[in-house]
Amino acid sequence: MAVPTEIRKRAIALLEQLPRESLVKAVEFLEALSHEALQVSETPNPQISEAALLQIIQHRLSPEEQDRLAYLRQQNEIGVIRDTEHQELLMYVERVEQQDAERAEALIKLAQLRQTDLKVLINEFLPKHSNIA
Amino acid sequence: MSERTPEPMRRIVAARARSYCEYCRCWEQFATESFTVEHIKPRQAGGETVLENLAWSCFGCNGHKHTKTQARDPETGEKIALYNPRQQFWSEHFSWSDDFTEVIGKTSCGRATVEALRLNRFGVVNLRRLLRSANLHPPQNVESDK
Ligand SMILES: [Zn+2]
Repeated sequence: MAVPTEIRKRAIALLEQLPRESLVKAVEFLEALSHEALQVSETPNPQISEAALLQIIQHRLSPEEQDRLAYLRQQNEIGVIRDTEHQELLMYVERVEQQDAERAEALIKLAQLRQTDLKVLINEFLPKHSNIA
Repeated sequence: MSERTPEPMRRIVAARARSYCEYCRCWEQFATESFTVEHIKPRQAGGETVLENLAWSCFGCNGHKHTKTQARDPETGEKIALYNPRQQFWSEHFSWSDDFTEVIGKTSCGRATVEALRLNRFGVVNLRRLLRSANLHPPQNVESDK
């Protein structure tokens, strides 16, 4: 699922401009598309390289997005988040959860490719939650 | 009121849930965003930061629950209190679909909670499907599953 970064950014920028009513429709449409994408990606691809998998595994939000998300999460947790900020938080939920699923898929494939235990890769690539954040 | 939950308390809440979201049953291990201490009765509604009012929740369920305490059962239209992991058992209100990718509400409370917290969010369903293929889903031996 190697979509050029520029197209992805453009899609995100468009989403950000949408009013709330259209946003719901857009998300439904994107979900339908992603279902197709997932079905495609379920077909085994013998040419999938370790580098491509690592790219998916190591993909994270940009530092600016991560900061913004941390701010939104904090506002939510202390109970002072505004409605518009809450909508923005839910957009991050969609993105992060989908990325997490893609990452899990790549980790499982990498474990098969390297013939390693998945748990070893989880320890190597996923954050250790100290339950502090 | 707008204080963060004290760290020792967060650890207790996480350990009690064995690092699974107490709503959608996602495992924290696969999440890049840390899970959250969820106030079952929201602080804005006077909910206190006491163990009896706290649940361990993924970032998505927490975001969707927000300040809700009730939602409509999509089957009857009746407004009902959301699932309370401290007072109710997960398995009494929810079950898995045959392929274990979706949470099914078994009761009015279960159905209302599935809708309100969107327990079958797209990314979460995909994650369940993948983890199922690796025998890592559904979670086993989680206290509130019993
Ligand atoms: Zn959850």
